[in-house]
Amino acid sequence: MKRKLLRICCYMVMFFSAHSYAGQQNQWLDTLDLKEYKNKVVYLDFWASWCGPCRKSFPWLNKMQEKYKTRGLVVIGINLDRDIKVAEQFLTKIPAQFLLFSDPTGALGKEYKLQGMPSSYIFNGNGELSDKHIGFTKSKVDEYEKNIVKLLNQLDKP
Amino acid sequence: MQLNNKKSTHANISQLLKTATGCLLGATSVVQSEENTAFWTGWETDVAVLGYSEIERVSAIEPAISTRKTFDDDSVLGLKLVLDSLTGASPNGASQTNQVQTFTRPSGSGNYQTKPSETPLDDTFHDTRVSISANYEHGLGRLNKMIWGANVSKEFDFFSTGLSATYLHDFNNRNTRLSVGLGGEFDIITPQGGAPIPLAQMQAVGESQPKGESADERYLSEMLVGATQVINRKTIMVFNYGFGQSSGYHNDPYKVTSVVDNITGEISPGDTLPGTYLYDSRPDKRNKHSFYSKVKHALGRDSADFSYRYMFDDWGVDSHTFNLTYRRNFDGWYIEPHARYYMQSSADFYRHSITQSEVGTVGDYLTSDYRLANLWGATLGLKLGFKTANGNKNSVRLEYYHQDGEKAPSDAVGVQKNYDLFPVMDALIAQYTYSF
Amino acid sequence: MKTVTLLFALLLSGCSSMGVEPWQRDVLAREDMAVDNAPLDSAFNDHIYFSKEASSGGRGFSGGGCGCN
Repeated sequence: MKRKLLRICCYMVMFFSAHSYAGQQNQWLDTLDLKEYKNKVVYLDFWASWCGPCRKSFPWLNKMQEKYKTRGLVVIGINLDRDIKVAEQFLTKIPAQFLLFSDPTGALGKEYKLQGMPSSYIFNGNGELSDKHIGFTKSKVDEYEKNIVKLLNQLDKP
Repeated sequence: MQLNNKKSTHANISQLLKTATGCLLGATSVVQSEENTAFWTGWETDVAVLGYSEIERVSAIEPAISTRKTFDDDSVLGLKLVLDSLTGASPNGASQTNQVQTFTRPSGSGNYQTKPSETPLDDTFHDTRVSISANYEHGLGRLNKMIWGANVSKEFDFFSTGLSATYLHDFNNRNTRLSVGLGGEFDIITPQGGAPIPLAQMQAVGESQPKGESADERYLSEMLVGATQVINRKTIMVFNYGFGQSSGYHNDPYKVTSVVDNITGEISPGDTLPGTYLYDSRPDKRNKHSFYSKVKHALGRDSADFSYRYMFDDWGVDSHTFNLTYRRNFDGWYIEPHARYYMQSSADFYRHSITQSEVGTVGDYLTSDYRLANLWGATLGLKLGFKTANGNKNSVRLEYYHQDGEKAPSDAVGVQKNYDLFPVMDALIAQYTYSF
Repeated sequence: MKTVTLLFALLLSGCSSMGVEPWQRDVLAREDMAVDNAPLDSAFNDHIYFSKEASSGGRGFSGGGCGCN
């Protein structure tokens, strides 16, 4: 009985520390390969610490990631700060509960022919680019969310 | 969970994100209500006080409050209120002479005197001005927007109201911004004692005063076209061309021109006053053109800002304004030295005074308002800015402005050669601003 | 007036090749790099110099900055 209780306590401690750990530690990807996300809706968001609307979008991106994680949404924030330390300092104040990837030279930005900051590119379950928009406007979040849900509904059920 | 941890740091970020964080801190329920922030939250406000003091002349204190909010659809509303309280004495246009001079106050029911060799100053000037302005900015598409503006201003003898509309369009991935703006203003001037008849002679107290209308009007319209261009990662440039046209009452009802003896240069005896002083007379139309350019360049953590403006009008005035500001940034504070140099050529109808023989031949327009004379001005200033513990911004600015002109004009006559005929001016400017 | 239009046209054509990518606006987004980073100061100054000199205005509006949205 004591052992079982201890185990439960142990798991609870692990569970809670994992949650707060996930909140404090930023998950920077080493490589970005969309093929790793088969049957997932991938939401690529290009951001930088100095971009005002990007800051405004983070709470919403966090919310979307949490809300649709189990339905197959993967949000990846592609950071374009020249120095990753500046981005990390930003993240201590405004945390990201989604995957991150650092593109300090702007190579990915060039590849996607970015026209403005922030920029979002959404890929469907087959890895095809389905939707994109430039900028983040709070009054348009319902529209953004609808687009995500539309693509999630097209995913194969597990 | 995470939201609770962020409360203290949010206080600092809230400067930038009032709308977003405001709704999140209290978020419990879902759906749209969470996204709608109250109208009264999220305003970014600046309160400031400006103190202006000319040595032995005019002093002013100007408190101002300016506030701005960005709404969820990225539109912006700005409101501003400025109060202006002026005291002190201003040159009335008359020249120094070797006798005591007597002038009638604008009301006609009092007078004031100037000692020999002193610059005549009118000290009846005590005024308070209130000015309110609003502007609203909204996007038309992703790359273009409109800014609408309105303003009203009232002081004892002057009322002004104006409207403006500006269209902005971004090109070349937002590296180029073109703007076209139009503005209109309508002024009502109600000079104390009535508008003097131009070129009429000032009369003594008790005599019939040569005054005309009690109120007069003026219309102004302005057009501004501009381009802002990103040159490189650290440099940006601005070019503007402005055209302004005003029609209506332009005279200064409180300014006069001295008439002096052809040989001695002493003040000529007047009809009822010891001296002859003619009221200000200006054309009822004025066209102005201005060319403005600015360059801003970042140097490491610092930046430099240089601008040049060339202005000319159809009154004969042309001017050059050079402005240089250098910002030196440190952690949480900055220092900003500033220098400005201004020079202008006089209006065609400006005279420091006229001789007796010129009366009648001087033409329709005549002014001795030093502001339309050949003059130059230099300003040196320093600004200090810093953030307080709660992340709010403070700044203190101190400036010194020296204005000078032709002290010994070539057409000075007789005793006039003994005096500095331009009313040199030194002013101190101090401003404190708090932003939250 | 014609010269002004010509200058603007030249400026516009020359400007199409100048500038930075959207992700290279970090320095321009700095508060001190805004075209007018202290509008209250500028307004006070405009008022002072308008009262003491024969010239006014010309400054105009924004541009530069983060270039976001």
